[in-house]
Amino acid sequence: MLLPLLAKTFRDHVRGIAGWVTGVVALIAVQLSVYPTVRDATSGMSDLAEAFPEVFRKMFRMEEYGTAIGYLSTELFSATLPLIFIAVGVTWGARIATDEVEAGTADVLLTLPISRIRFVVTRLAAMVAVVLGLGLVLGVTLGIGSMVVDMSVPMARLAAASWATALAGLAFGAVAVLVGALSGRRSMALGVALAVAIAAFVVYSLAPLVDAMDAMNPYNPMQWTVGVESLKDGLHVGQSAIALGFAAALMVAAVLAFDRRDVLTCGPVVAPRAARHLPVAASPAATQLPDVDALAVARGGDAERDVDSDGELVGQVARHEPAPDAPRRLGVDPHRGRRRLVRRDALRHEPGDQSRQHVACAGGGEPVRRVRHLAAAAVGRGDARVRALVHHDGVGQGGGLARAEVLAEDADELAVVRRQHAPRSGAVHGAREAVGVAAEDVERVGVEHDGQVVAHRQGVAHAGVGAPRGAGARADDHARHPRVLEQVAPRGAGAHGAHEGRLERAGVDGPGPGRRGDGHDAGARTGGGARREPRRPGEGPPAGDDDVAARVLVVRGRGHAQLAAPECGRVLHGAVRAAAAHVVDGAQLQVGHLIGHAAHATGATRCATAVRPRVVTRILVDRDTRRSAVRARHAWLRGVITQGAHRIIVGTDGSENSLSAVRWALREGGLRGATVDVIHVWDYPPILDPVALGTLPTNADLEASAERVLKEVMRKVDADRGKTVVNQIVTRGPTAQSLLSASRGADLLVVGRRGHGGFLGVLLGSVATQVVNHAQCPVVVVGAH
Amino acid sequence: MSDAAHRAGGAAVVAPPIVEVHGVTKRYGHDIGVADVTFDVREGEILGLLGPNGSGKTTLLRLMLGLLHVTRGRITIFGRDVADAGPTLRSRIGYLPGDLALYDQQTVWQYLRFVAALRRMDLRSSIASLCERFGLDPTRRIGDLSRGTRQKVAVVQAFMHAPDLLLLDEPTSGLDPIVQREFESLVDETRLRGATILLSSHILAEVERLADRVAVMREGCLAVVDDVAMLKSRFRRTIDLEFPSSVDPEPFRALDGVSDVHVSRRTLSCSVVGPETALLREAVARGVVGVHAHAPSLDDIFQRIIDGPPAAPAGPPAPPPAPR
Repeated sequence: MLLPLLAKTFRDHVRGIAGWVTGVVALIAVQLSVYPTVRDATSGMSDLAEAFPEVFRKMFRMEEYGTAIGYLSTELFSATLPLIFIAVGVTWGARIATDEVEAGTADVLLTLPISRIRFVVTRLAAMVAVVLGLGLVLGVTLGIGSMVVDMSVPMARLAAASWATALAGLAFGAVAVLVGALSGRRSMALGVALAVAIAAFVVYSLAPLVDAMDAMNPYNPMQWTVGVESLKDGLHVGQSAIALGFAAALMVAAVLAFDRRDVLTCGPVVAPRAARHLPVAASPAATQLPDVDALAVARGGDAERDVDSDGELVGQVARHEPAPDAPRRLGVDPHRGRRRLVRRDALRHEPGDQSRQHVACAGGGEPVRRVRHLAAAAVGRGDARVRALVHHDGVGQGGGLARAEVLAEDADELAVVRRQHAPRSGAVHGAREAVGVAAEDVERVGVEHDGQVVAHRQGVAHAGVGAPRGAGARADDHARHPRVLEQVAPRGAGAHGAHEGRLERAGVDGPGPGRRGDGHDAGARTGGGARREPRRPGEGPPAGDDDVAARVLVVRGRGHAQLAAPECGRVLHGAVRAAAAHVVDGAQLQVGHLIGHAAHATGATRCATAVRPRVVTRILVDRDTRRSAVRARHAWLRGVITQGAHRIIVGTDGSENSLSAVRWALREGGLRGATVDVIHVWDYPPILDPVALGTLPTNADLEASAERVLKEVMRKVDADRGKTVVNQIVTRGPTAQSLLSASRGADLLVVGRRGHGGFLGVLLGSVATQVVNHAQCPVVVVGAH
Repeated sequence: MSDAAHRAGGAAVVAPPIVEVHGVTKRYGHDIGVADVTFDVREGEILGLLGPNGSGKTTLLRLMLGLLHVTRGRITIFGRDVADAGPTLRSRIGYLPGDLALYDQQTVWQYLRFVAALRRMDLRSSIASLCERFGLDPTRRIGDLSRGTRQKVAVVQAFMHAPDLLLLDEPTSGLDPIVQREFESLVDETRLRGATILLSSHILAEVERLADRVAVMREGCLAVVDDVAMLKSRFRRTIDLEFPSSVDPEPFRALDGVSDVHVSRRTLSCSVVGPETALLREAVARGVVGVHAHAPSLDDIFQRIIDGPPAAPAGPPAPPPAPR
C-alpha cells in the first residue's frame, strides 16, 4: 500500500466523497422524517398500496408498507440506495486504472520504483474504503435515525442491509475497475459498468414477474446483495460471500490486466506516425483561417488531423509552406472530457510575435467550449484578437449555431461557414441565426454562402440584419420613452406607431435577424396609423416577414400586451420589461410562443412582475414551453393568473376542508373585491421511486385527473362564487412550495386545515403547517364546519 | 569510469553496458512501434537518441521503463531484465517524459515531495537546491506555470534523487536558451558523477554538444549507432568553392568522397563525405579564394540515412505479435 498515493487519492476527491455522504444522510433523514406520519396513517397507506397493481407492489416490496421494515425496503433499500451505491462504486471503479493514465500523470508515477500492482491495489483500496465507508455512514445514520423516530428495527438488521447495499456498490464497481483496466478508458469503464448494472437491476426487478428473469436471477450480483432482504432476514453469509468473491475476482483480474497493459503516451491527439498516414484533407480550419498566428482546435474537430504532436501544422497548409500567412502555431486540447489544457502554451506569445496576435478557434467538434477557453487563455496574455470559425450544416439552430453561440462569447469575430454538403437553402437561415447569436458580443460576423459573405453585422445586411441600434431607436423616441429605448433598443430595434391616439408600441427584440423589418411590419399591421420610421440610408431592406409573427411584441391600444417572444431569454427579458412598463394597470400581458427553456419564460415573467408587480396578468405559454415549465415546477407560470389590485390564493385538494377554504376565500374575495386563484397542486405520491416509469400512470393522466378534481371543486363552490374573478390553476410540484410561490405578492393565502383522511391528508396537513411558517402574506387556515 | 578514460579508451572496449537492448520489437496491433532494435548504452556515457517525430524514440524509452511491454526481444538494465525487476531497477533511474503531465492543483513543492515520498526518499535538500538552480519557485501552483517552467519541474523530478541512469525524452523542449545551458551543465555534472544518460532529441545541435555517441532512429528502426564525430564525417557536407576564374570540375569529380559537383560561373559546389583533405588540396592548387561549408541540417542527415542502405532490420519482417 502506498500511503502517499492513498492520501492523495482521497484528497483529490474529498469534495465528491463529502457530497455522497451528505446525500445519503439527507436522503435517510428525509425518508425517516416522513415515517411517523406514515405509521400513524397505516390504514390509508395500506389502501393506497393496494391501489397499485400487484406488479408494482412486488417490484417495490410494498406489501408491508405500513411496517418499519416494509417502509424502509420500499423507500430506501429496494432501489434508491442500491442505485446510489452502484453509482458511487462505478464512478470510483471506472477511474481506478484509468484517470492517471488518461491524464498522463501515470507517466511519472509508474516509472517510480513502485510496481504497477501496488499502484493499482492502492487505488483499489481507496475505492473499497470509500464504498464501505459510505456503507458505514448509511448504517450509522439509519441506526441513529431509527432510534429517533422509534422504528424498532434491530440494529443488526440495519447493519446487514447497509452491508448488502455497500456490497452491491463494490460488485458493480469491480466491473468498472476491470473494464477500465482492460480498455484503459474511463468512459468505456463507466459506460459498460453502468450498462451491466442497469441490466442486473432490470433482471432483479422483474424476476418476480418474468420466469426467464427469475431463472437468471441466482447469477445476478443484484440478487446476491440487494435481493437477500437483509432487513427481514438479517445477514445472509452465503450470498455475501458470493458477492465478495465476485468483486474480489474481478479486482484481481483487473490488477493483472493493468499490470500487463501498455501505458501509452498521453498528449498528442494524432500520433505522429498515424498523422503521416492520414489522408490529408483540407481542413477548413487550417485553410480558411490563413492569416492567423495561432489556431486552437478541438479534438474531434475537423482541424484535428492537421496537427501533429508538436502542435505543428501538417497536411495541406504545411505542404504549401512557405505560405507566409499560415497559422504558425496550433493548440490542441487533447483531453476529451478533461479541463486541463496540455497544449495551452502553444498559444502563448512568442517574443517577436507581439505585432499581430490573431487567435482563431475552430469549433468543428463537440468540445467547443474548451477550445474557447484555449483561445481565451491566449487572449488573456496579450492583445490577441480571437476569431471563431464555425461550420453550420444548414439546419438553422442546429449544432453549428449552438457552437457559434459558445464561441461568440469570447470571440471578436465570428465566421460561419456552410459545411460542404449542407443544403444551400440553409445558409441564409444559418446566416440569420448566426448573426443573431453573435449580435452583441462580436464585432464582426461573417456568414459564408456559396463562397460569398451573405451577412455581416457591420452596417448593411443582405439577410436583413439591423445595426446595433435599429431604426426604431430614434432620438425623439428616446426622449419620450426612455425606458423602452433603454431596454429594447440597444439590443435590437424598436418600431412603434400610434393607434387611436394611444400608445401602441411594437417593440421587436430578439436575436433573430430582420428585427427592424419585423418591427416595421408589425407596427404597420397592428397599428392602423402606425408611423413608419424613415430608413437610414445604407440600411438594408427589411427581411421578408415569414417569421414576423413569432418575434413581435405588441402593446395593444387597450393596454393589453401580447408578447410573442423570441428564443433568447436575455433579450426576451428586455422586451418583457418594456411591455410591462407600458401596460395599463389591470390589463393583460400575454407571453406566447416561448420557444426554449422554461427558465426563459420564468425569467421573463419575473422581469415583468419586477417592473409592474400588479400588472402581469395572463401568461400563455405554448405547449412545448409549457411542458418544460411544468418540469421546472413554476406553478405560477402554468396557468392563467388574472390579477386585480388584490389577490387571494387558495389551495385545494378536493377534500371537504379545502372546499370550505375555497368557499371562504371566494366570499372574502367578494368582500374585498379581489381576484381569487384557486390552486390544485398534484405530484407523484412520494412513495414511488423514479424507476420503471413505463408502467406508472403518466404525467398526462395525473394532470388530467388533477384538472378534474379542480373542476369538481369549482362546481361544488359555484354558489359562493358570486362575481368574484377566479383563476383556476392546476400545477405540479411540492404542494407547500407551489402555494408559497403562487402567493408571492398576494394579499392572502387560504388553505384547509386538513384535507382527506389518510395519505393525502397527511400531506396536506403538513402543507398547512409549512405554509403558515413560511408564507410572506397573511395566511388563513380554514377547517370544515 | 572517468570521463577522460572513457573517451581516451574508446567506449566500445572498456565500459560495461548499462542498458542493453536485444532485438526489441514493439507492435501496437498492426502498427510497428520499433522493429528489431539492438544497441547498448555504456556506463558513464551520454547516448543521444536522434530521430524525427514518430521514429520510435519515445517508444524505446517507455519500453525501457516498463511502461510498455516488448513484443519480442529483451531489454536489460544494470544487468537485469526490465520485465522481471522493473521496480528495483527504477529506483536507480530518472525519467523525464517528453510530455509531462502534472497535477495542476499541487504546488511544485507538493508535487516533488509527493514523488519523493513514493520513492521513499527524503529529498528536501536536493529538491530545494535544484529548484534554486533553475530559478523555480516551489510555492507556485503547477496549473499556473508556463510550459517552460513545467519542463523545469520535470527536470528536477528526473534528477532529484541522483539516479545512476537517466532517460531523458526531449528534455530541453520548452526551455529558454539560458535554462538550456544550465541544463547542459547539469547533465555534464551528472556524467562526471558517473551516471549514464540516454537522451532523445530531434535537435542535432543539442545532441552534438552533449552526447558521446548517437543512435539514429527512423520509422521504428535503428539506422545508425556511432560516435558523434564519426557520424558527422559520414554525412555529406555541401562545400562551395570560389575561384578567381571559371574552373574545370573534372579533377574534383575524380576525388574520393566527392560527389554532386556543379559549376556555376566561378563557384564550384560539391558534396563531401569523409575527410576533406584531398578536396582542399586540389582547391588550393587551383587558387581557391573562398570556401563555404554548409553544415548538414538534421533534415539532410535524416534524408541521407533514409536514402542510404537500411541499417536495420536485417532479417525478414517480424511475425505477427503474440496477443498482449
